[in-house]
Amino acid sequence: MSLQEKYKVLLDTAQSSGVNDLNYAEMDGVLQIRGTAPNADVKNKLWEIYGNIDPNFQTGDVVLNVDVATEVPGSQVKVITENSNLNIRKGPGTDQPIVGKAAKGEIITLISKANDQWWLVRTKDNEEGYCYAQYLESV
Amino acid sequence: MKFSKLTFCLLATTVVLSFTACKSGLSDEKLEEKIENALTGRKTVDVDVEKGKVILSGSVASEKEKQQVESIAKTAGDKDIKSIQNNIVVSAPVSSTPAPIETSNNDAVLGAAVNTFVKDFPTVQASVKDGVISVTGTLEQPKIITLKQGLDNLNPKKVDLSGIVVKK
Repeated sequence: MSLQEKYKVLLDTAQSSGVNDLNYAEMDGVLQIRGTAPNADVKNKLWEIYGNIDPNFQTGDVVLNVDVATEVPGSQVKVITENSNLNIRKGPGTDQPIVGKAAKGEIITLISKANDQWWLVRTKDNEEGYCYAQYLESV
Repeated sequence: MKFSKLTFCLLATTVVLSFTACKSGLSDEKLEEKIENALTGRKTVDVDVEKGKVILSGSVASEKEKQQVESIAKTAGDKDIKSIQNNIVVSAPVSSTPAPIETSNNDAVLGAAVNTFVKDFPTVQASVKDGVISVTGTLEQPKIITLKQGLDNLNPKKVDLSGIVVKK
């Protein structure tokens, strides 16, 4: 069974739920999937389906990198750390000094995306800096 | 009568002057720097600021991107911007076929990003070889998805989690 057949439900759902610029290809035995989900719910749904086909992602035959369209510059994003505060840094990197913190659950403004990992944000107290994108979700 | 008119004029001028002084919170240079900072990575876009008026120029691939650049500039400059003039030219994309999917081919860069990310997962260790991320250790089941999402965002060739012992 090819990977595209194994993950047919995942690819079909991505198509039917309006994922933009959907692009996928089997490369070196891994199904690489890229695209932009219209909202965080669609992204979460795709991950749920992926997790159902490959429990705990143990097989490692998919790399699913889908971002969310509503997470655009100027939009509000929520801090989704486990329980700690989110560090806001002077530049994009953990070697950069911390210039501020955002609490778990706090809503902050996304100014721009330096890259996939580091986003420039502004807090309600007008603190500006870069933080790790994994801990931000559109509201 | 003449005297009071003059006083009024002087007063008005002072008020206007102090107003202008208050209004320009950031110098043009600082504002330009701030906007350029927010537009990091967009090498085809130029920013100019003259007396609080922001002029964007250069070229981008789509109308959507042109508007996106403007909105980034607006958000970054916020209240310090008096107006924005968007002179960015939209140049047609070279081809309409989707770009090939890119995966990381630089282990040093990928490794550094992986190390940064897994710092938040103290019970696992990760290594990178030929674009493949291998992770070992133990992890609570609900955290697996966060780990996998973060690693997939780095565009590796593969993420191997088979070495992880999953705790319920």
